[in-house]
Amino acid sequence: MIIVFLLALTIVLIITFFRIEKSLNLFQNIFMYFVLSFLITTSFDILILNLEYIKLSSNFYLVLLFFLMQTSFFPLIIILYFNYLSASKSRLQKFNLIILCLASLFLIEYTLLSNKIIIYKKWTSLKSALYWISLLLTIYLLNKAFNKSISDEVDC
Amino acid sequence: MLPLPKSFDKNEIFLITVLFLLILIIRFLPKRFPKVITILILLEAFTIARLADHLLASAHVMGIDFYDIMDTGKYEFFGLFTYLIFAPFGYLFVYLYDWIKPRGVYLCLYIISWSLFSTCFEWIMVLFDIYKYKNWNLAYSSIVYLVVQPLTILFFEFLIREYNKMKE
Repeated sequence: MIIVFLLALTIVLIITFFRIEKSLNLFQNIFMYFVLSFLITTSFDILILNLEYIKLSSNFYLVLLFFLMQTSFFPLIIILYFNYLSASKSRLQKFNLIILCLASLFLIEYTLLSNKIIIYKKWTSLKSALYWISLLLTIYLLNKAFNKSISDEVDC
Repeated sequence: MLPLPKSFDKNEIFLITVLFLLILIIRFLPKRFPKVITILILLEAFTIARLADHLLASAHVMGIDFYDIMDTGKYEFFGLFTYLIFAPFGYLFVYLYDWIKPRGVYLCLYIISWSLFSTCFEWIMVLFDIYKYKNWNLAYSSIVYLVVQPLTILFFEFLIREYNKMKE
């Protein structure tokens, strides 16, 4: 059941992502996708394999689903957030967006947790919150650096 | 967080040497693409390598742990260097493609030659204990290269088309 639900949710997100008009240019979106996929898979590998703070389910399909979440759902949510962020004018709008983005990430993480796809060992929700916030900050700074380096070639 | 090697031996020395040589080659090649395309091509090769290893080499829990990278089964600091090597190779692959511009049967030959070259290079990496195969062999790798390399060409063509559209 959970596999079907998360799979459907990911498909809907992918379709939405490609259908909506984005305020960042194509190259920025591609850049963010690659960097996010790398950072998310790397950090989860460190947490699961090296530090053993999080345990992964031993079910083959659930692990594949988790891989799909790491490479599609989480990056796309964050890219959408940055697209809306650059289009938003007021501070309230920006605040609402970050709350919405973090809530979506948490909700999916909670779904993974409650269905035992991931199991916290020495990990907590607070650490998770710090993780997502620092990831957003990192990608924001990297995107800024990328924009700066390509600004003479492409309109950002 | 990222363990250092148990002993600094042939695999680490090989990785650093190859990476250094590749960076030198790329540094001295005449500039061919806009900076944005170069960055994205390097990043694409790097990320594809990372995602493939993430799926095939670090998911030991589901019984499809096909190979280990470097000294332990963990995600090591020098494991990052293996992905860094793929980035210049991806760039050289696209660079030569854009230079030669193979079409039709020559494009097939180009992709097959590069797949063979990549497989041979991977074999050298196996000899240097960078990859330690468990349920994997070079034939599987060559199939992966045969799939990934045409995708890289498609990605490059897409980037060039979009770049030109943006410039108009």
